Amino acid sequence: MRRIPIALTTGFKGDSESYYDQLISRYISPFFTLCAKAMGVINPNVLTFVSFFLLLLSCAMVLYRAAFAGVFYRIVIALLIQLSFIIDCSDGQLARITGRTSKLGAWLDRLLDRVGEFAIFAVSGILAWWQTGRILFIFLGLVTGYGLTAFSLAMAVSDSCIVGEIAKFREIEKEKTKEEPAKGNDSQKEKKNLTLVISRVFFFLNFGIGERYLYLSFFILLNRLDIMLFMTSFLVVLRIVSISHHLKNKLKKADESLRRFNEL
Amino acid sequence: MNCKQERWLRNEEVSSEVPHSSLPVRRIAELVSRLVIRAGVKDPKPVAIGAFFLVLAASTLLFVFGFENWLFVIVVSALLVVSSVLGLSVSRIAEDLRKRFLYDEWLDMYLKRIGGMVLYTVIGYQSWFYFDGSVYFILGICIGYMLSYSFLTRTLKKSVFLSEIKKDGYETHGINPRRSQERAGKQHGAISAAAHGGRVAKFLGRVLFGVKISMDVWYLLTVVFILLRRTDIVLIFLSALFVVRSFAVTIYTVREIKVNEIGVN
Repeated sequence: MRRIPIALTTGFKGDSESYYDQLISRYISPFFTLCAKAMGVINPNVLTFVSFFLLLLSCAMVLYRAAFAGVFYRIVIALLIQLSFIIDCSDGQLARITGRTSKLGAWLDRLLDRVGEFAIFAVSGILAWWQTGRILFIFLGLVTGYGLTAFSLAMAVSDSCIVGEIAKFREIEKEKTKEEPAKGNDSQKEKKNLTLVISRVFFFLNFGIGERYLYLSFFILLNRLDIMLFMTSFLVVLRIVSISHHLKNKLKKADESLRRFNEL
Repeated sequence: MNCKQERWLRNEEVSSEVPHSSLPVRRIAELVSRLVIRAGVKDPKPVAIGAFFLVLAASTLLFVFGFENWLFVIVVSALLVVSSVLGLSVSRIAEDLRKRFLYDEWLDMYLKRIGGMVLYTVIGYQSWFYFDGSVYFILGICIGYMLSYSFLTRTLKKSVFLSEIKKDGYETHGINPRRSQERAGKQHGAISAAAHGGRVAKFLGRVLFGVKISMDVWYLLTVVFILLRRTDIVLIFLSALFVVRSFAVTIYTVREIKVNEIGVN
Protein backbone atom coordinates (compact mmCIF):
# COMPACT_ATOMS: atom_id res chain seq x y z
CA MET A 1 0.00 0.00 0.00
CA ARG A 2 2.92 2.31 0.54
CA ARG A 3 3.71 2.50 -3.10
CA ILE A 4 0.38 3.87 -4.21
CA PRO A 5 0.45 7.33 -2.60
CA ILE A 6 3.99 7.97 -3.84
CA ALA A 7 3.10 6.96 -7.35
CA LEU A 8 -0.05 9.02 -7.21
CA THR A 9 1.54 12.22 -6.04
CA THR A 10 4.50 12.28 -8.43
CA GLY A 11 4.80 12.92 -12.09
CA PHE A 12 2.93 16.18 -12.49
CA LYS A 13 5.01 17.68 -15.21
CA GLY A 14 5.04 20.37 -17.85
CA ASP A 15 1.82 22.04 -18.72
CA SER A 16 -0.23 20.54 -15.92
CA GLU A 17 2.17 21.67 -13.22
CA SER A 18 0.18 24.64 -11.96
CA TYR A 19 -1.29 26.01 -8.75
CA TYR A 20 -4.64 24.39 -9.42
CA ASP A 21 -2.97 21.00 -9.84
CA GLN A 22 -0.84 21.41 -6.77
CA LEU A 23 -3.63 22.61 -4.50
CA ILE A 24 -6.75 20.85 -5.69
CA SER A 25 -6.68 18.28 -8.47
CA ARG A 26 -3.76 16.39 -6.97
CA TYR A 27 -5.99 15.43 -4.05
CA ILE A 28 -9.07 14.60 -6.10
CA SER A 29 -7.65 12.63 -9.02
CA PRO A 30 -6.23 9.77 -6.88
CA PHE A 31 -9.81 8.92 -5.96
CA PHE A 32 -10.69 8.49 -9.65
CA THR A 33 -7.48 6.58 -10.26
CA LEU A 34 -8.25 4.08 -7.53
CA CYS A 35 -11.87 3.82 -8.71
CA ALA A 36 -10.69 3.07 -12.24
CA LYS A 37 -8.30 0.46 -10.90
CA ALA A 38 -11.04 -1.09 -8.77
CA MET A 39 -13.30 -1.22 -11.83
CA GLY A 40 -10.65 -3.22 -13.64
CA VAL A 41 -9.41 -0.48 -15.97
CA ILE A 42 -5.70 -1.13 -16.22
CA ASN A 43 -4.95 0.57 -19.52
CA PRO A 44 -4.32 4.28 -18.82
CA ASN A 45 -5.00 5.17 -22.45
CA VAL A 46 -8.65 4.28 -21.83
CA LEU A 47 -8.80 7.09 -19.26
CA THR A 48 -7.13 9.47 -21.73
CA PHE A 49 -9.84 8.72 -24.29
CA VAL A 50 -12.63 8.97 -21.69
CA SER A 51 -11.34 12.39 -20.66
CA PHE A 52 -11.16 13.50 -24.32
CA PHE A 53 -14.69 12.31 -25.09
CA LEU A 54 -16.07 14.04 -21.99
CA LEU A 55 -14.56 17.26 -23.28
CA LEU A 56 -16.03 16.68 -26.73
CA LEU A 57 -19.38 15.97 -25.09
CA SER A 58 -19.23 19.29 -23.24
CA CYS A 59 -18.37 20.99 -26.57
CA ALA A 60 -21.42 19.39 -28.16
CA MET A 61 -23.59 20.48 -25.23
CA VAL A 62 -22.29 24.05 -25.53
CA LEU A 63 -23.08 24.08 -29.24
CA TYR A 64 -26.47 22.45 -28.77
CA ARG A 65 -28.22 25.04 -26.66
CA ALA A 66 -25.97 26.56 -24.01
CA ALA A 67 -26.61 30.08 -25.33
CA PHE A 68 -30.13 30.14 -24.02
CA ALA A 69 -29.97 27.36 -21.44
CA GLY A 70 -30.78 27.55 -17.75
CA VAL A 71 -28.44 27.31 -14.79
CA PHE A 72 -28.79 23.55 -14.41
CA TYR A 73 -27.66 22.91 -18.00
CA ARG A 74 -24.65 25.16 -17.51
CA ILE A 75 -23.74 23.46 -14.22
CA VAL A 76 -23.71 20.10 -16.04
CA ILE A 77 -21.35 21.49 -18.71
CA ALA A 78 -19.03 23.00 -16.08
CA LEU A 79 -18.95 19.72 -14.16
CA LEU A 80 -18.24 17.74 -17.31
CA ILE A 81 -15.26 19.98 -18.08
CA GLN A 82 -13.90 19.56 -14.56
CA LEU A 83 -14.48 15.81 -14.63
CA SER A 84 -12.64 15.60 -17.95
CA PHE A 85 -9.66 17.41 -16.43
CA ILE A 86 -9.57 15.26 -13.29
CA ILE A 87 -9.71 12.05 -15.36
CA ASP A 88 -6.97 13.49 -17.55
CA CYS A 89 -4.83 13.78 -14.40
CA SER A 90 -5.71 10.21 -13.41
CA ASP A 91 -4.36 8.50 -16.53
CA GLY A 92 -0.74 9.22 -15.64
CA GLN A 93 -1.29 8.09 -12.08
CA LEU A 94 -2.95 4.86 -13.21
CA ALA A 95 -0.04 4.25 -15.57
CA ARG A 96 2.43 4.65 -12.72
CA ILE A 97 0.64 2.48 -10.18
CA THR A 98 0.00 -0.30 -12.68
CA GLY A 99 3.50 0.00 -14.13
CA ARG A 100 2.13 0.64 -17.60
CA THR A 101 3.80 3.94 -18.42
CA SER A 102 4.51 4.19 -22.11
CA LYS A 103 5.73 6.63 -24.72
CA LEU A 104 2.54 6.08 -26.66
CA GLY A 105 0.50 7.07 -23.62
CA ALA A 106 2.57 10.21 -23.06
CA TRP A 107 2.23 11.20 -26.69
CA LEU A 108 -1.49 10.46 -26.83
CA ASP A 109 -2.12 12.40 -23.61
CA ARG A 110 -0.39 15.53 -24.85
CA LEU A 111 -1.90 15.37 -28.32
CA LEU A 112 -5.49 14.86 -27.18
CA ASP A 113 -5.09 17.62 -24.58
CA ARG A 114 -4.21 20.05 -27.33
CA VAL A 115 -7.00 18.95 -29.67
CA GLY A 116 -9.59 19.04 -26.86
CA GLU A 117 -8.44 22.46 -25.72
CA PHE A 118 -8.67 23.86 -29.20
CA ALA A 119 -12.17 22.44 -29.61
CA ILE A 120 -13.51 23.80 -26.32
CA PHE A 121 -12.10 27.31 -26.78
CA ALA A 122 -13.25 27.52 -30.39
CA VAL A 123 -16.73 26.45 -29.28
CA SER A 124 -16.64 29.02 -26.44
CA GLY A 125 -15.94 31.67 -29.08
CA ILE A 126 -18.98 30.56 -31.06
CA LEU A 127 -21.14 30.62 -27.93
CA ALA A 128 -19.97 34.14 -27.03
CA TRP A 129 -20.74 35.20 -30.61
CA TRP A 130 -24.28 33.85 -30.34
CA GLN A 131 -24.79 35.60 -27.04
CA THR A 132 -23.37 38.98 -28.00
CA GLY A 133 -23.78 39.01 -31.77
CA ARG A 134 -20.16 40.11 -32.19
CA ILE A 135 -17.95 38.06 -34.47
CA LEU A 136 -14.89 39.34 -32.59
CA PHE A 137 -15.47 36.58 -30.02
CA ILE A 138 -15.07 33.83 -32.58
CA PHE A 139 -11.65 35.27 -33.35
CA LEU A 140 -10.78 35.56 -29.66
CA GLY A 141 -11.76 31.91 -29.21
CA LEU A 142 -9.58 31.01 -32.17
CA VAL A 143 -6.69 33.09 -30.85
CA THR A 144 -6.86 31.16 -27.56
CA GLY A 145 -7.24 27.77 -29.25
CA TYR A 146 -4.60 28.33 -31.90
CA GLY A 147 -2.38 30.03 -29.34
CA LEU A 148 -2.38 27.06 -27.01
CA THR A 149 -1.57 24.77 -29.95
CA ALA A 150 1.17 27.15 -31.08
CA PHE A 151 2.61 27.14 -27.57
CA SER A 152 2.92 23.34 -27.55
CA LEU A 153 4.16 23.40 -31.12
CA ALA A 154 6.93 25.83 -30.19
CA MET A 155 8.23 23.53 -27.49
CA ALA A 156 7.82 20.34 -29.51
CA VAL A 157 9.58 21.84 -32.52
CA SER A 158 12.41 23.00 -30.30
CA ASP A 159 12.79 19.46 -28.94
CA SER A 160 12.69 18.10 -32.47
CA CYS A 161 15.47 20.42 -33.57
CA ILE A 162 17.55 19.24 -30.64
CA VAL A 163 16.90 15.55 -31.42
CA GLY A 164 18.72 16.09 -34.70
CA GLU A 165 21.82 17.22 -32.85
CA ILE A 166 21.60 14.98 -29.82
CA ALA A 167 24.74 13.00 -30.59
CA LYS A 168 26.76 16.20 -30.69
CA PHE A 169 25.19 17.34 -27.44
CA ARG A 170 26.44 14.28 -25.67
CA GLU A 171 29.96 15.15 -26.76
CA ILE A 172 29.44 18.69 -25.57
CA GLU A 173 28.20 17.53 -22.19
CA LYS A 174 31.31 15.42 -21.87
CA GLU A 175 33.53 18.37 -22.73
CA LYS A 176 31.62 20.59 -20.31
CA THR A 177 32.43 18.36 -17.36
CA LYS A 178 36.11 18.88 -18.09
CA GLU A 179 35.84 22.63 -18.45
CA GLU A 180 35.71 25.02 -15.54
CA PRO A 181 32.60 27.19 -15.35
CA ALA A 182 33.29 30.43 -17.21
CA LYS A 183 32.83 33.75 -15.40
CA GLY A 184 30.54 36.09 -17.27
CA ASN A 185 31.16 39.78 -17.77
CA ASP A 186 28.71 42.57 -16.91
CA SER A 187 26.77 42.50 -20.16
CA GLN A 188 26.31 38.74 -19.84
CA LYS A 189 25.08 39.22 -16.26
CA GLU A 190 22.59 41.85 -17.43
CA LYS A 191 21.33 39.44 -20.06
CA LYS A 192 21.00 36.72 -17.43
CA ASN A 193 18.99 39.07 -15.19
CA LEU A 194 16.68 39.92 -18.06
CA THR A 195 16.19 36.24 -18.81
CA LEU A 196 15.45 35.61 -15.13
CA VAL A 197 12.82 38.36 -15.05
CA ILE A 198 11.22 37.05 -18.22
CA SER A 199 11.22 33.48 -16.93
CA ARG A 200 9.53 34.70 -13.71
CA VAL A 201 6.90 36.52 -15.74
CA PHE A 202 6.49 33.34 -17.71
CA PHE A 203 6.01 31.33 -14.53
CA PHE A 204 3.41 33.80 -13.32
CA LEU A 205 1.56 33.55 -16.60
CA ASN A 206 1.88 29.81 -16.75
CA PHE A 207 -1.78 29.26 -16.14
CA GLY A 208 -1.84 25.54 -16.73
CA ILE A 209 -4.47 23.40 -18.29
CA GLY A 210 -6.22 23.09 -14.89
CA GLU A 211 -6.61 26.84 -14.50
CA ARG A 212 -7.81 27.20 -18.05
CA TYR A 213 -10.57 24.67 -17.50
CA LEU A 214 -11.39 26.27 -14.16
CA TYR A 215 -11.88 29.71 -15.78
CA LEU A 216 -13.90 28.09 -18.50
CA SER A 217 -16.24 26.30 -16.08
CA PHE A 218 -16.57 29.42 -13.93
CA PHE A 219 -17.47 31.72 -16.82
CA ILE A 220 -19.84 29.14 -18.34
CA LEU A 221 -21.66 29.14 -15.00
CA LEU A 222 -21.80 32.94 -15.06
CA ASN A 223 -22.80 32.82 -18.74
CA ARG A 224 -20.12 35.45 -19.50
CA LEU A 225 -17.71 33.73 -21.87
CA ASP A 226 -17.02 37.06 -23.55
CA ILE A 227 -15.07 38.26 -20.49
CA MET A 228 -13.17 34.98 -20.29
CA LEU A 229 -12.18 35.11 -23.97
CA PHE A 230 -10.70 38.60 -23.59
CA MET A 231 -8.68 37.40 -20.64
CA THR A 232 -7.51 34.04 -22.02
CA SER A 233 -6.60 35.35 -25.46
CA PHE A 234 -4.52 38.11 -23.87
CA LEU A 235 -2.78 35.64 -21.54
CA VAL A 236 -2.13 33.18 -24.36
CA VAL A 237 -0.51 35.84 -26.51
CA LEU A 238 1.72 36.87 -23.60
CA ARG A 239 2.52 33.24 -22.96
CA ILE A 240 3.58 32.69 -26.57
CA VAL A 241 5.79 35.76 -26.50
CA SER A 242 7.47 34.62 -23.28
CA ILE A 243 7.99 31.01 -24.42
CA SER A 244 9.38 32.24 -27.74
CA HIS A 245 11.88 34.35 -25.84
CA HIS A 246 12.76 31.43 -23.60
CA LEU A 247 13.24 29.04 -26.52
CA LYS A 248 15.23 31.62 -28.42
CA ASN A 249 17.71 31.77 -25.55
CA LYS A 250 17.76 28.01 -25.18
CA LEU A 251 18.36 27.32 -28.86
CA LYS A 252 20.93 30.08 -29.20
CA LYS A 253 22.81 28.57 -26.29
CA ALA A 254 22.62 25.19 -28.01
CA ASP A 255 23.89 26.75 -31.23
CA GLU A 256 26.77 28.34 -29.36
CA SER A 257 27.68 25.00 -27.78
CA LEU A 258 27.57 23.31 -31.16
CA ARG A 259 29.76 26.01 -32.68
CA ARG A 260 32.32 25.53 -29.91
CA PHE A 261 32.15 21.80 -30.39
CA ASN A 262 32.79 22.14 -34.12
CA GLU A 263 35.77 24.39 -33.42
CA LEU A 264 37.37 21.81 -31.11
CA MET B 1 18.42 4.21 -27.13
CA ASN B 2 21.31 3.17 -29.31
CA CYS B 3 23.05 4.57 -32.32
CA LYS B 4 20.81 2.91 -34.92
CA GLN B 5 17.70 4.24 -33.35
CA GLU B 6 19.27 7.59 -32.83
CA ARG B 7 20.29 7.73 -36.46
CA TRP B 8 16.76 6.86 -37.44
CA LEU B 9 15.44 9.70 -35.35
CA ARG B 10 18.00 12.04 -36.78
CA ASN B 11 17.31 11.01 -40.36
CA GLU B 12 13.65 11.67 -39.79
CA GLU B 13 14.33 15.21 -40.74
CA VAL B 14 12.08 17.74 -39.09
CA SER B 15 12.50 20.44 -41.65
CA SER B 16 11.70 18.24 -44.58
CA GLU B 17 10.58 21.16 -46.68
CA VAL B 18 13.39 21.30 -49.19
CA PRO B 19 14.86 17.77 -49.08
CA HIS B 20 11.49 16.20 -49.90
CA SER B 21 10.46 18.83 -52.41
CA SER B 22 10.12 18.19 -56.09
CA LEU B 23 12.73 19.24 -58.62
CA PRO B 24 11.09 22.51 -59.76
CA VAL B 25 10.70 23.61 -56.14
CA ARG B 26 14.36 22.86 -55.46
CA ARG B 27 15.34 24.81 -58.59
CA ILE B 28 13.30 27.80 -57.42
CA ALA B 29 14.90 27.57 -53.98
CA GLU B 30 18.39 27.49 -55.51
CA LEU B 31 17.68 30.46 -57.74
CA VAL B 32 16.14 32.56 -54.99
CA SER B 33 18.91 31.64 -52.61
CA ARG B 34 21.50 32.86 -55.10
CA LEU B 35 19.58 36.11 -55.67
CA VAL B 36 19.07 36.75 -51.97
CA ILE B 37 22.72 36.12 -51.14
CA ARG B 38 23.81 38.33 -54.03
CA ALA B 39 21.54 41.05 -52.63
CA GLY B 40 23.72 41.03 -49.51
CA VAL B 41 21.65 39.00 -47.06
CA LYS B 42 23.97 37.26 -44.63
CA ASP B 43 21.49 35.54 -42.36
CA PRO B 44 18.49 33.31 -43.12
CA LYS B 45 16.52 34.69 -40.13
CA PRO B 46 15.33 37.93 -41.74
CA VAL B 47 14.17 35.95 -44.77
CA ALA B 48 12.02 33.64 -42.60
CA ILE B 49 10.65 36.58 -40.60
CA GLY B 50 10.05 38.56 -43.80
CA ALA B 51 8.12 35.65 -45.35
CA PHE B 52 5.99 35.45 -42.20
CA PHE B 53 5.18 39.14 -42.18
CA LEU B 54 4.26 39.02 -45.86
CA VAL B 55 1.72 36.30 -45.05
CA LEU B 56 0.40 38.41 -42.17
CA ALA B 57 0.15 41.45 -44.45
CA ALA B 58 -1.68 39.42 -47.10
CA SER B 59 -4.06 38.02 -44.46
CA THR B 60 -4.75 41.52 -43.09
CA LEU B 61 -5.51 42.90 -46.54
CA LEU B 62 -7.76 39.96 -47.26
CA PHE B 63 -9.51 40.37 -43.93
CA VAL B 64 -10.15 44.08 -44.49
CA PHE B 65 -10.94 44.22 -48.22
CA GLY B 66 -12.08 40.67 -49.05
CA PHE B 67 -12.34 39.37 -52.61
CA GLU B 68 -14.48 42.18 -54.01
CA ASN B 69 -11.74 44.55 -55.10
CA TRP B 70 -9.54 43.20 -57.92
CA LEU B 71 -6.64 45.43 -57.01
CA PHE B 72 -6.38 44.02 -53.50
CA VAL B 73 -6.85 40.47 -54.74
CA ILE B 74 -3.83 40.96 -57.01
CA VAL B 75 -1.79 42.58 -54.21
CA VAL B 76 -2.64 39.74 -51.80
CA SER B 77 -1.69 37.15 -54.42
CA ALA B 78 1.59 38.89 -55.14
CA LEU B 79 2.44 39.04 -51.43
CA LEU B 80 1.67 35.36 -51.02
CA VAL B 81 3.76 34.39 -54.04
CA VAL B 82 6.76 36.34 -52.73
CA SER B 83 6.26 34.86 -49.27
CA SER B 84 6.05 31.29 -50.67
CA VAL B 85 9.15 31.72 -52.76
CA LEU B 86 11.08 33.17 -49.84
CA GLY B 87 9.72 30.48 -47.51
CA LEU B 88 10.81 27.74 -49.89
CA SER B 89 14.30 29.14 -50.01
CA VAL B 90 15.03 29.69 -46.31
CA SER B 91 16.58 26.25 -45.77
CA ARG B 92 18.56 26.56 -48.97
CA ILE B 93 19.81 30.03 -48.03
CA ALA B 94 20.89 28.70 -44.62
CA GLU B 95 22.78 25.86 -46.32
CA ASP B 96 24.44 28.15 -48.86
CA LEU B 97 25.49 30.60 -46.16
CA ARG B 98 26.59 27.70 -43.96
CA LYS B 99 24.45 29.08 -41.19
CA ARG B 100 22.15 26.19 -40.45
CA PHE B 101 21.43 26.97 -36.81
CA LEU B 102 18.88 25.34 -34.54
CA TYR B 103 17.25 28.67 -33.71
CA ASP B 104 16.82 29.61 -37.37
CA GLU B 105 15.41 26.19 -38.16
CA TRP B 106 12.95 26.46 -35.27
CA LEU B 107 11.91 29.99 -36.24
CA ASP B 108 11.33 29.00 -39.85
CA MET B 109 9.18 25.98 -39.04
CA TYR B 110 7.26 27.71 -36.27
CA LEU B 111 6.45 30.89 -38.17
CA LYS B 112 5.32 28.95 -41.23
CA ARG B 113 2.68 27.12 -39.20
CA ILE B 114 1.44 30.26 -37.48
CA GLY B 115 1.25 32.05 -40.84
CA GLY B 116 -0.70 29.13 -42.31
CA MET B 117 -3.17 29.15 -39.43
CA VAL B 118 -3.86 32.86 -39.84
CA LEU B 119 -4.07 32.80 -43.64
CA TYR B 120 -6.49 29.90 -44.02
CA THR B 121 -8.72 31.15 -41.21
CA VAL B 122 -8.99 34.54 -42.93
CA ILE B 123 -9.64 32.93 -46.33
CA GLY B 124 -12.38 30.85 -44.70
CA TYR B 125 -13.85 33.93 -43.05
CA GLN B 126 -14.01 35.92 -46.29
CA SER B 127 -15.37 32.93 -48.21
CA TRP B 128 -18.20 32.76 -45.69
CA PHE B 129 -19.46 36.15 -46.88
CA TYR B 130 -18.45 35.82 -50.52
CA PHE B 131 -20.12 32.43 -51.07
CA ASP B 132 -22.71 32.89 -48.31
CA GLY B 133 -21.93 29.73 -46.38
CA SER B 134 -20.57 29.51 -42.85
CA VAL B 135 -19.26 26.05 -43.71
CA TYR B 136 -16.34 27.71 -45.54
CA PHE B 137 -15.28 29.45 -42.35
CA ILE B 138 -15.31 26.11 -40.53
CA LEU B 139 -13.29 24.54 -43.37
CA GLY B 140 -10.77 27.40 -43.16
CA ILE B 141 -10.40 26.87 -39.41
CA CYS B 142 -10.01 23.11 -39.96
CA ILE B 143 -7.26 23.63 -42.55
CA GLY B 144 -5.48 26.13 -40.30
CA TYR B 145 -5.62 23.78 -37.37
CA MET B 146 -4.72 20.64 -39.29
CA LEU B 147 -1.62 22.31 -40.72
CA SER B 148 -0.37 22.47 -37.15
CA TYR B 149 -1.91 19.20 -36.06
CA SER B 150 0.07 17.03 -38.49
CA PHE B 151 3.26 18.81 -37.52
CA LEU B 152 2.45 18.68 -33.81
CA THR B 153 1.83 14.94 -34.05
CA ARG B 154 5.24 14.34 -35.58
CA THR B 155 7.17 16.72 -33.36
CA LEU B 156 5.48 15.53 -30.16
CA LYS B 157 6.67 12.03 -31.00
CA LYS B 158 10.25 13.27 -31.06
CA SER B 159 9.65 15.33 -27.96
CA VAL B 160 8.52 12.18 -26.14
CA PHE B 161 11.63 10.29 -27.23
CA LEU B 162 13.94 13.18 -26.42
CA SER B 163 13.66 12.47 -22.71
CA GLU B 164 14.55 8.86 -23.44
CA ILE B 165 17.66 9.86 -25.34
CA LYS B 166 18.74 12.23 -22.58
CA LYS B 167 18.02 9.70 -19.85
CA ASP B 168 19.83 6.93 -21.66
CA GLY B 169 22.89 9.13 -21.60
CA TYR B 170 26.29 8.48 -22.94
CA GLU B 171 26.97 4.92 -21.83
CA THR B 172 24.88 2.92 -24.26
CA HIS B 173 27.42 3.27 -27.01
CA GLY B 174 30.60 2.12 -25.45
CA ILE B 175 30.10 -0.19 -22.47
CA ASN B 176 29.23 -3.38 -24.26
CA PRO B 177 29.58 -2.83 -27.98
CA ARG B 178 28.55 -6.37 -28.92
CA ARG B 179 25.34 -6.25 -26.93
CA SER B 180 24.71 -2.81 -28.24
CA GLN B 181 25.10 -4.08 -31.80
CA GLU B 182 22.68 -6.92 -31.18
CA ARG B 183 20.14 -4.52 -29.79
CA ALA B 184 20.71 -2.22 -32.72
CA GLY B 185 20.06 -5.05 -35.16
CA LYS B 186 16.81 -5.99 -33.47
CA GLN B 187 15.60 -2.43 -33.30
CA HIS B 188 16.54 -1.71 -36.86
CA GLY B 189 14.58 -4.76 -37.91
CA ALA B 190 11.57 -3.60 -35.97
CA ILE B 191 11.77 -0.11 -37.41
CA SER B 192 12.10 -1.49 -40.92
CA ALA B 193 9.10 -3.69 -40.26
CA ALA B 194 7.07 -0.63 -39.39
CA ALA B 195 8.38 1.34 -42.31
CA HIS B 196 8.10 -1.35 -44.95
CA GLY B 197 6.07 -4.22 -43.59
CA GLY B 198 2.34 -4.72 -43.54
CA ARG B 199 -0.22 -3.52 -46.05
CA VAL B 200 -1.76 -0.93 -43.77
CA ALA B 201 1.62 0.57 -42.86
CA LYS B 202 2.66 0.65 -46.51
CA PHE B 203 -0.57 2.26 -47.61
CA LEU B 204 -0.49 4.84 -44.84
CA GLY B 205 3.15 5.56 -45.56
CA ARG B 206 2.28 6.28 -49.16
CA VAL B 207 -0.65 8.50 -48.23
CA LEU B 208 1.44 10.32 -45.67
CA PHE B 209 4.46 10.97 -47.85
CA GLY B 210 2.45 11.29 -51.03
CA VAL B 211 0.79 14.42 -49.72
CA LYS B 212 3.89 15.65 -47.95
CA ILE B 213 4.27 18.78 -49.98
CA SER B 214 5.82 21.92 -48.65
CA MET B 215 3.45 24.44 -47.11
CA ASP B 216 4.69 27.07 -49.49
CA VAL B 217 3.45 24.99 -52.40
CA TRP B 218 0.00 25.00 -50.79
CA TYR B 219 0.23 28.77 -50.68
CA LEU B 220 1.00 28.89 -54.39
CA LEU B 221 -1.98 26.65 -55.12
CA THR B 222 -4.15 28.84 -52.92
CA VAL B 223 -3.01 31.96 -54.78
CA VAL B 224 -4.27 30.52 -58.07
CA PHE B 225 -7.72 30.03 -56.57
CA ILE B 226 -7.70 33.45 -54.89
CA LEU B 227 -7.01 35.01 -58.30
CA LEU B 228 -9.88 33.00 -59.79
CA ARG B 229 -12.01 34.02 -56.78
CA ARG B 230 -12.90 30.38 -56.24
CA THR B 231 -11.53 29.90 -52.74
CA ASP B 232 -14.47 27.56 -52.04
CA ILE B 233 -12.77 24.93 -54.24
CA VAL B 234 -9.41 25.28 -52.54
CA LEU B 235 -11.03 25.15 -49.08
CA ILE B 236 -12.97 21.96 -49.86
CA PHE B 237 -9.99 20.35 -51.58
CA LEU B 238 -7.46 21.20 -48.90
CA SER B 239 -9.71 20.30 -45.98
CA ALA B 240 -10.47 16.88 -47.52
CA LEU B 241 -6.80 16.34 -48.19
CA PHE B 242 -5.77 17.42 -44.69
CA VAL B 243 -8.38 15.22 -43.02
CA VAL B 244 -6.93 12.20 -44.84
CA ARG B 245 -3.43 13.35 -44.12
CA SER B 246 -4.06 13.95 -40.42
CA PHE B 247 -5.63 10.53 -40.11
CA ALA B 248 -2.71 8.89 -41.89
CA VAL B 249 -0.15 10.83 -39.85
CA THR B 250 -1.80 9.83 -36.58
CA ILE B 251 -1.98 6.12 -37.37
CA TYR B 252 1.49 6.05 -38.83
CA THR B 253 2.94 7.86 -35.81
CA VAL B 254 1.20 5.49 -33.39
CA ARG B 255 2.77 2.58 -35.24
CA GLU B 256 6.19 4.18 -35.16
CA ILE B 257 5.98 4.93 -31.44
CA LYS B 258 4.89 1.37 -30.68
CA VAL B 259 7.76 -0.09 -32.65
CA ASN B 260 10.28 2.24 -31.10
CA GLU B 261 8.97 1.54 -27.66
CA ILE B 262 9.64 -2.15 -28.21
CA GLY B 263 13.13 -1.16 -29.30
CA VAL B 264 13.75 1.01 -26.24
CA ASN B 265 12.50 -1.59 -23.81
